[in-house]
Amino acid sequence: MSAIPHTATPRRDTGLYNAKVGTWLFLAAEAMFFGALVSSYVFLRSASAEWPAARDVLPVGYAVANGIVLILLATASVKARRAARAGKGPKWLWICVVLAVCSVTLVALEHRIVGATGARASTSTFYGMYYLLSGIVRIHVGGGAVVTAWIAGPCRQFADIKPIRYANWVECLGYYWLFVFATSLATFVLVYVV
Amino acid sequence: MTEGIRHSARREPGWLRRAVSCDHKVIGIQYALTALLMLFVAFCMVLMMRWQLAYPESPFPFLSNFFGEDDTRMPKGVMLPNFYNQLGAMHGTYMVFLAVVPLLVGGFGTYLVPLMLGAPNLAFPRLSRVGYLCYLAGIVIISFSFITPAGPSNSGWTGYPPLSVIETGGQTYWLVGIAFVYLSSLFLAINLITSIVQLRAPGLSLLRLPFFVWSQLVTSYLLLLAFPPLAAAAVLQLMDRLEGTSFFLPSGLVVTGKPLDASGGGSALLWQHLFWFLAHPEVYVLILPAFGIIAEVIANNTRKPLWGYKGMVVSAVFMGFMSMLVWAHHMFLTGMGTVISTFFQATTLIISIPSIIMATSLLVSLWGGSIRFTVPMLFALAFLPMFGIGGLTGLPLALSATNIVLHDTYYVIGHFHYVVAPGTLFAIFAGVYYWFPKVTGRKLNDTLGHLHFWPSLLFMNAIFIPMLLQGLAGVSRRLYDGGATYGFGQEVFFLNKAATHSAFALAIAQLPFVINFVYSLRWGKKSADNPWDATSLEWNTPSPPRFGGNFDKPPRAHRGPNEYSVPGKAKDFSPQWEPEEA
Ligand code: HEM
Ligand SMILES: [Cu+2]
Repeated sequence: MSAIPHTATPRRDTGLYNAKVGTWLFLAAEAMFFGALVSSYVFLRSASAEWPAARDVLPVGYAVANGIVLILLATASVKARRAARAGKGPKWLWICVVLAVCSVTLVALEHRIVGATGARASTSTFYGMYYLLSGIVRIHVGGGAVVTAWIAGPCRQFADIKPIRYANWVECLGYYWLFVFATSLATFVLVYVV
Repeated sequence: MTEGIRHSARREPGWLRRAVSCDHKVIGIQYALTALLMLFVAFCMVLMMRWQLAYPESPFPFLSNFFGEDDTRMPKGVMLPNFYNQLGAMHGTYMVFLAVVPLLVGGFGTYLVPLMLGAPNLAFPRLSRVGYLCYLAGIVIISFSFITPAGPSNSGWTGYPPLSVIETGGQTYWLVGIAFVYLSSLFLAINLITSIVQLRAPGLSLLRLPFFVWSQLVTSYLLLLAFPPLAAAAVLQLMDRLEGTSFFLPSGLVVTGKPLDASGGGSALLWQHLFWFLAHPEVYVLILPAFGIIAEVIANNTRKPLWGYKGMVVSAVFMGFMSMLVWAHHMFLTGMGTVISTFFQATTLIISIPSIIMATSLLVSLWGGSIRFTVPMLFALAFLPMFGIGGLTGLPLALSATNIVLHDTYYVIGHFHYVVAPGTLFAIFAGVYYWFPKVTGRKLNDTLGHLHFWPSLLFMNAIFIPMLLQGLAGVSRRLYDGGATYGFGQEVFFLNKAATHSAFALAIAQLPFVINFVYSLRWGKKSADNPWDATSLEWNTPSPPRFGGNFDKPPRAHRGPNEYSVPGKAKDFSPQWEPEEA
């Protein structure tokens, strides 16, 4: 079985290792996915007769708190990458997991509160969009938490066997968290500020 | 000696280990065979529909006893309108999403790209296995709707709301299935692009890549960037169906006399925008790899380099980029306004330029070549005029004024089938005949190949020319009785019979191919490693290439992809892998 080139070390002319290219492509697709949802939001909002001001009807405090958690999460992922490159332990990865769980919980609480006012996704396209966008962010944070925990826990052994590849994985994971942070920020601005 | 044989025998894993392995050749073959099966299924569906169009309300031959009196689909073999709609939706879905794209990108792409790159596998072998499983899941989910009581979706391969939201059939299966198909094509695209960027053999610069690889690269970008909006749209439509949201439901909708119980406030047009943002690039996903196959076959059989290789590469890239800017030419009649219509009319005319450059380059490549009329070459030669008809019939559709009379008629059906049936399908056949010796180590039989090609060419045209004519006469698409009860359908109704008989004849014309395929697998003439005297790197492997690694020794590229008949050389082909003799 011949080995696949550039799984760990970068290719000379592109300066990239394979997983980094793959991650960027994946995030490009994700950007198109979010872009389509955001365009749909703008399309529906501009076409609709009435559109409540989100600040008045949604518990904005939770969204702000969630944003702060995601900033911390993005920062922690950068720290995790440095630690992995330096061959240190998975502490920062676990911090990422904890923060991600906090974020998911915050969104769940927020949905509880909004739900208690009787607003369902079917109430209006405004609420439909609200539940959808926040739900999609929540799925992304939750999915990221699972993968992060997987890399911090079961895959930890590879830090010793294939240290470069392991650090590459953590780096790619970091790009993902930065992406999630950026999109949720964009969603926040769109829903609450604009 | 015996020692060596026993040694290599021990290293070759058994068929089961191979079948579940992550070798790109295994996965490519699995994609191709699954997709060929889907092609067959989708073809059978349309044969049933064609019967209904030519002989409305008369029982399908042989099936009248198979279905009972109170069957909800075909009581006593006579097709009911709803079942016609369901078959129509499924024919399109199977053909586009489950057959042709997986065949071109999953089959040809996964199998050939690493070989042409001189790589041992794709960049992410396990991802490609997962992608194949997602594709299978998509097939299972969509096909499962056939055995549910309500049957499959009946709202077209385009899934337009409001019908798709309020219909009670299998649209939910359709949406979930498409989401899996999306995942599979996402993984494919990531894998192919990364491999092309990262795994090129030493010396294989971008402009030394075979045009086939370029076509796969651009195609993968289209899948990567255009499919996510459809996935997003599918999520929105799922919410509409399951959560009762109204993203695609306008206010005040009345269904069969009753106001619909939904909040409203959505927009049906939003779906059309999201859908066509994928689906127009998707039609280039259907044609670009076909061009890639044809380019390799033509260069090999004219024994000349491709004429205008660089121009073709630039055209393919430009076409990929532009294809994201033309989607609303499917929506001229939705009242978008003349300014927007004019914009999309202009972009659509611009995008026909690269198509014409590519087709013309291939045509000019024939000039002065000593053409070998092999079976793959016959299909390639037929591809050019067939694609030409398909492309030219697109131009009247592209003009928003003439589109008004042609939209939603059989003319549109004729147009796009010319591009995908005698176009893309012929390219697929060309590719199968051309690479079969590499994949199996045996050649397909030539006589059976001719018996396959000539009738196919004849009947393809006999099916689709009548459709263009009917459309010009004003017959709408998606009529369950073929226009029998419509005034404008009367004069051209007889054409339905011509098309239907030709479709059944086309089915019979595929028998030589099926026989040839199965027979040659086992008893075909043994093929050398490079039976066509070709030049690109895949021919530098044993036939079939080594399981797990492909090449006997890692190759290096010394020249461009199609260096045929180089002046001053003894042979008429200079393979990429042969070093320049001193
Ligand atoms: C080369 C120039 C081409 C032009 C100018 C063109 C133009 C158009 C236009 C304007 C329509 C919309 C017609 C209507 O619904 O009113 C259309 C439909 C369509 N075209 Fe093309 N086209 C071209 C090539 C292709 C190719 C290469 C393919 C596929 C490989 C293709 C596949 C389709 C399909 C599938 C539809 C109909 C989809 C549906 O409504 O179900 N076209 N084309
Ligand atoms: Cu189009």
